[in-house]
Amino acid sequence: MKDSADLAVRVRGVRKRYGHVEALRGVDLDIAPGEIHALLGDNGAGKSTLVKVLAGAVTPDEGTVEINGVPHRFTGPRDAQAAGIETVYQDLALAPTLPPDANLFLGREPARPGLLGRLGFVDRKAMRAEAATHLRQLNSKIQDLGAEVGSMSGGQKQAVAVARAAMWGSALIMMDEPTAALGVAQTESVLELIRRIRDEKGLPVLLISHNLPDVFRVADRCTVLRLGRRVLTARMSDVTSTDLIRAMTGADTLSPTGERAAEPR
Amino acid sequence: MSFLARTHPSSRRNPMKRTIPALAASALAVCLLAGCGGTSSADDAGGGSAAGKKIVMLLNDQFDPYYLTLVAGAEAEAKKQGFDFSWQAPSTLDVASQTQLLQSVAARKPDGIIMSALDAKAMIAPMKQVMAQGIPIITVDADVADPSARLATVTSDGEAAGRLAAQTMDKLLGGKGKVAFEGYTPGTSSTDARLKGWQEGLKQTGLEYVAERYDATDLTTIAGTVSAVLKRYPDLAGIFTNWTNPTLGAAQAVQAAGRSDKVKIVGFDASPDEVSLLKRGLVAALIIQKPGDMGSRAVSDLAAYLKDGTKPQSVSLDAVVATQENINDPAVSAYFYKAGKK
Amino acid sequence: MPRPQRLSDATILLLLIAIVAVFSIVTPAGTFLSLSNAESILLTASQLLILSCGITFLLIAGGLDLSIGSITIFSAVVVAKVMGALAGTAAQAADFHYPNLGVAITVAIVCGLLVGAGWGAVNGLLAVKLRIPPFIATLATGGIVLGLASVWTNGQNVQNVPLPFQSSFGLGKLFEVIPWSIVIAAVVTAVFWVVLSKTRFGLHTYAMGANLEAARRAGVNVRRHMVLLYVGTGALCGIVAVLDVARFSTASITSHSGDALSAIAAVVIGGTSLFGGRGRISGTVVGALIPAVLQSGFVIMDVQPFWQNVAVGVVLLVAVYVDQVKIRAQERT
Repeated sequence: MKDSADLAVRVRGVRKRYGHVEALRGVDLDIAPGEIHALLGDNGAGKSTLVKVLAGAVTPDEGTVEINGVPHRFTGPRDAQAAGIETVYQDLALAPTLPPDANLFLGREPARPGLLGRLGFVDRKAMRAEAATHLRQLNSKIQDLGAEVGSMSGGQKQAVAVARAAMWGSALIMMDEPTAALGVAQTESVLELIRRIRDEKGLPVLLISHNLPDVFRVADRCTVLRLGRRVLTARMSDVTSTDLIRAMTGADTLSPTGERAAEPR
Repeated sequence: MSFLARTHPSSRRNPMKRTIPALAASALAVCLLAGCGGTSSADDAGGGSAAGKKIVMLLNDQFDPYYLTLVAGAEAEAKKQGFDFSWQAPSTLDVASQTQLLQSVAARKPDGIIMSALDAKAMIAPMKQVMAQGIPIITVDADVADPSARLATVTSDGEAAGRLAAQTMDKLLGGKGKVAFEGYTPGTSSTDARLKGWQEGLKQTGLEYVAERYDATDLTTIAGTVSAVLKRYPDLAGIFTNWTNPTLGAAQAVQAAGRSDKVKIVGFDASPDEVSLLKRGLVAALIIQKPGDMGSRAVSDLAAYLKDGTKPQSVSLDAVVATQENINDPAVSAYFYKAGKK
Repeated sequence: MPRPQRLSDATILLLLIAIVAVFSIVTPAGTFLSLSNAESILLTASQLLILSCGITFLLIAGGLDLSIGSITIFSAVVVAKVMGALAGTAAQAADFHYPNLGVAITVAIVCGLLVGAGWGAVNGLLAVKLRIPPFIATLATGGIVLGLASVWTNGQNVQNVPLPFQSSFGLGKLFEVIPWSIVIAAVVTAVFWVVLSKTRFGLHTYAMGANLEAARRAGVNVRRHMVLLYVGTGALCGIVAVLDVARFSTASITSHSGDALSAIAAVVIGGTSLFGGRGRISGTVVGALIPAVLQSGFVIMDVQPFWQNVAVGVVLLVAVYVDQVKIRAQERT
C-alpha cells in the first residue's frame, strides 16, 4: 500500500446516515496525484454523497479525509474550496447572463489596486486577460469572451464551468456527469478538456459518470461503489466493462486480476 | 368578518386611489364599531323628541377634508339635537359594497340614515327597501335619480360652482386672455360637474379657452403637465383646477416657471394648503363648496322629520369664492375645510 | 455589464431621439425644443429616475418592490412633520417665522432617509428571512405603509412645512442654473451606475438574478446582498420624499400612488429583464425620460392626454417582447 502522503486524496471509513438510510457504510477512496479517477456505481450506490462529503456540502458521521496527507474536516463548501477542491456540478452553476470571465471569477473577483479596490471596484481588465489566458491554456473553443454564457453551446458552457474549477482548484477537481447532456463532438471536446487539466495543470480529477465508454477513454483508474461501500478499485487497463457492470450490480466483488476490492493497487 | 373590511376609505368625489391595509382598516373599524354599536337596539315606539335617537351617516371617504368637514357639520348639529351619531365609509367604490353596508346598517335599526349615493340609479332599489322598513333616508352630496327612494336631498351644485369659477376668472382677467384647465381624469361625477359648469360658464365670457388637460392624483405629474402648458402658451393668463391636488401642482409649476405674477390660478376646495397658497398670492381665488352646511342641514332636516313628520325640502347649496380680499371675512373663512380631526 | 445589452440600449436611445425629433418638428418653435422645457422634463423625470435606479438593481437581482410609492409617501410625511415641528411653534409658522430652520431641515432629511431605509429593511427581511415572494411581500407592506401614513395624517396633506425650504431648495437651482432635484437625481444615477457596472457588488447583483444558487455557491452572501438592495431602494424613496416636500411644500397622501408601476415600466423599457440578470442604469435613464418627454410633447402638441398612456404602454410592450425574445434565444441553445 502506498504511503498516504503520496496520495492526493485519501478517504477512510466514511459513514453517512440519513435517518434510516445509510448512504455511506465505511467508504474508502484513494486518488493519486495527476490521475483521472472515475467514480462508478448504480443509482443509490453513494456516489453523490461521497462527492458531497469531498465538496464539504455534507459532513460525514464517521471516517477521515486526507488531502495531500493532511487530515481535513469540512463543515461547509468554503472549507473544501480552501483545501483546493473544486466541483463542477451537473447544473454547472453558471450565471447565464454574465460573460465567461465574470463566471470564472464569480465570488473571487480581483480588486482594483489602491483605494478603488478597497471600495469594491473590480479590475475587469485583469479579469478578462486572465480568463483569456486560462481558457487558451485549456484549449477551449470559446471565441467571444464578451458573450453571455447563456448564449453558448452546451459544450462551451461545460468548458467554462470546468475552466473555473481548474482555475481555482489546487488539490482535486470533481466533475459530476460532465458529458451527460452533450452530443458526440461536444463530449469529445469535454473529454479533451479533462485530459488537459491533468496534463497542463497536473491536477487529479474525480470523474463521476454513467458512461462507461467515456470512462474507458479518459480515466486512468476507477473505483466502483455499491450500497455505500467500495467494491472495486482498478486500473482501467486491467478491467473490462463487463467487470465494471458486474461490480456495480453485485454479481462479483473480485476483479478479473484477482485484486481485492478493499485494497487499492 | 366582512364588516371590518368594508371600512376602507376611498372616494367617489375626490379622485384618490388608495389601498388601505387590513391593519389600519381593522383599527378604524374597531373605532367605528365602538362608536356606533354601543347603544341598545332601537325601540320602534318612536315619536317625540330627537334625544337619544340613532342616526348613521354613510360616506365615501374617511380622510378627504371635504367629507371630514361634512361630517363635522353633521356631528355638531347632531350633538345640538341630542342624536346618537355615527358614520361609516365603504371599502371599495362600488355599488355592491355600498349596498351591503347600507343593509348591515339598516339591520341595526337606526332612526334615520344620511348617505351619499354612489350611483344615481343602482342605489334606488336598496334605498327603497330600507325606506320601506320605516327608516328615513336623506341623501347628501350625491342624490339618486328617483326622489321616492329618499325623504329629501341636500347637495351642493358642482356645475354652478364651475360656472362661478368661470365668472371669477373672467373678473380676475378683466374679460380677456387665454385660459387653461387642469383637473382630475374624467369619469368622476363631482369633478366632472365642475368641469362642465366651467366649460358652460366660459361661453358667457370673452376668455379664450386654449387647453384642457387631465391627470390622476400625482403632484409631480400634474406639475409636469402644467409646465408644458405654460411652455406651449407663453401668454397664458389663467388656469382653473377642479380639486385640491391640481391646485397645488399648478401653483408649483407656475412658481417654478417664474410666472406667478402673470398667471392667475382659480383653484377648487379649501384645504389648509390651498388657503396658504391663497394667503401668499400664489392662487388668485378658491371656489369652495359648503360641505359643513350640507352636513348640518341634513341632520336638522332629519330632526324635524323625526320630531313631527315635517317633510324636508330638497336643497342645493351654492359655492363661495375666496380671494385675498375676503380671506379674513368670517362669512368666507368659515367654509375653509377643517384639518382632519376626528 | 454584459455586452449584448448594448444593442437594446442603442435601440431604446434611438427611440427616445426619434420621439424628441418628431415633437421638435411638430411643435411651435421655442416651445418643446428649448432649454427651459428640457429643464421641465428633467425635473418631472427626476423623481422617477431616482426610484428607478433602485428598481433596476432589484430587478437585476431577481427582486421586486411594489411599495416604493407608499414608502415615499410615508417618508414625505415624516420629513414634513419633523421639519414643521422642529422649525418653530405653530404661531411662528403662521407668521412664516422659523427660528430653528437649519436644525429642522437637517434632522428632517436624516429622519426621512432613515425611515425610508427602515421600511426597505422590512421588505428585505420579509422577502429574504420569511421567504415571502417579493411581489406579495411588498404589495402588503405598500398597503400597510400607506395605511399607517393615512392613519397618522388623517389623510390630510401635512401643513407647516417651512416656506424657505421650498423657496431656497425646492425652487432653488445649483449655480442658478440647474434645479436641485435634477442635480440630486444625476448624482444618485451616477453613483448607482458606477456601483452596478464597476464594482464587485454590481457583479454579484447580476449573478444573483442570473442564478441565485450559483451565486450562493460561489460564496456571495446572497441574503445580506438582497436585504441591502431593499434597504437602498427604501433610502432612495427617502431622497425622493425630501425632494417632494421641497417642491410642493407639503406631503400629499394621494401623490406617488403609481410610482412602483411607473418605475418598473421605466426600468423594463430601459432594457432590464423582468426575469433578472440583465439590465443597465443607462437604459433606465432613457426609460425614465420617455414618459416625461411624451407628457411634455403631447401637452404641447395639444394631443388628447390619454395618448400618453397609450404610447408608454406600447413602448413597454415592445421592451418586454424584446426581452422575451432574448431569453428564448438563449434557452434554445
